[in-house]
Amino acid sequence: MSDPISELDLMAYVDDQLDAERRIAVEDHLSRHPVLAAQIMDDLRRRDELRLALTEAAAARSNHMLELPAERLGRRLAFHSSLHRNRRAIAASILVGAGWFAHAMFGGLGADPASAAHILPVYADEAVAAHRTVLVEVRHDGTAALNLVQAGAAGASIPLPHLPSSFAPAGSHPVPSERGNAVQMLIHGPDEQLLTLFAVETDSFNIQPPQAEAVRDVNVAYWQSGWVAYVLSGAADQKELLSLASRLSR
Amino acid sequence: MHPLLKDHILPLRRYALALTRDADQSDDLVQETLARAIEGAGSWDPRRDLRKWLFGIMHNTHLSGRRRSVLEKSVAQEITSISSDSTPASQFQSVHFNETMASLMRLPEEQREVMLLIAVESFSYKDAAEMLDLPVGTVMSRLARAREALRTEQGTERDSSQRPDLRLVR
Repeated sequence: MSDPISELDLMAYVDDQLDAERRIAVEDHLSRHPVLAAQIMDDLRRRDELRLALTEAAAARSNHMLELPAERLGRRLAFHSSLHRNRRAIAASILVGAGWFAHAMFGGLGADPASAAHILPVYADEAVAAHRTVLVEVRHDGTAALNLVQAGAAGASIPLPHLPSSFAPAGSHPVPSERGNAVQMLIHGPDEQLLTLFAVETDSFNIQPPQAEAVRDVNVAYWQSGWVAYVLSGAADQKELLSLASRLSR
Repeated sequence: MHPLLKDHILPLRRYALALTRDADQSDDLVQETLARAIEGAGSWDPRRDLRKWLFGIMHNTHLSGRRRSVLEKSVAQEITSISSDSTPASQFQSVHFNETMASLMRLPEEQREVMLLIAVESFSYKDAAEMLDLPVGTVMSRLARAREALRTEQGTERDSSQRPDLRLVR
């Protein structure tokens, strides 16, 4: 025999706060009290009307101004969440720590820490693609491409490094990136060499000094400063690019 | 939009509209809420409900904004010595909205807020109480008063003869 139905039960029924058993008890009670049932239906109708009207009003507002902050917040939360997971994983690993340590000490993992540090970031591909595109445009019609690049709005929120005096900016524009906001800057470097600097917001905060590598036949130097990663691409060899990059990343 | 956030923007907008009763102000409130959330992202415990965390921030942002505007208003009133309060009619009364929506907007804020959190956003009584930093009983009695007011406004008061005893904590 269940408890008698109270006003609180009716309220919780309308607010969908009851477990299945109690819901059934309330519905049974309502089926025997048609006037009360009609009143409850009225409350439910009002609740649904409110949901609908507010949803319509909310959906009518433009999300344009929210895109950037929502993206940034999402990335911070994702980063924070992964940090949290890692912390828990580390805590768990302490339980088997002694064994793991012995294993690692004697090379059981077989992983080379140096190679792990040289995993090419995924945005390097995008940077190289954007670099090639601009080079093609410049080769076809140098001035037009530069004008085009100059006309584009520079990345609204991505900090670009301060250029030393031997570097002359030719323009910058936003470029598509899977990872969020990205900006490409066309630069005349020392000795009139044409460089592109690709800057993209990342999911994780990091400080990483420049490293050089070849990506699809283009030499790049990449580094990260805070939330933003940079890729410098150009025709110079890796050593020179690395030295240019370290001047920019300072 | 970021996958973690995309399902939360519309609910936050609904809450902002119900709190501010003004479309432009609601835009500002959503933006300020996101800005505060970015600042405080480190305080979010990923094991806890993100939606509840965001709604809590919006509630607090709105409260502090209101305190600010009350202060600004009182200063302005002192300066201009205007005696009549000429608050413009809410946009929700000029735009065509159904009667229920208009009734909601006429509720006192403390009732409007719990109505929105529980009836529209389906938060549990306990979650709403935690968000608003109130005892559960207070949340429930505000909700009961809000419902009663909506019924009265729309002339659908209940025939109390069939109803069980009201045992709400006031």
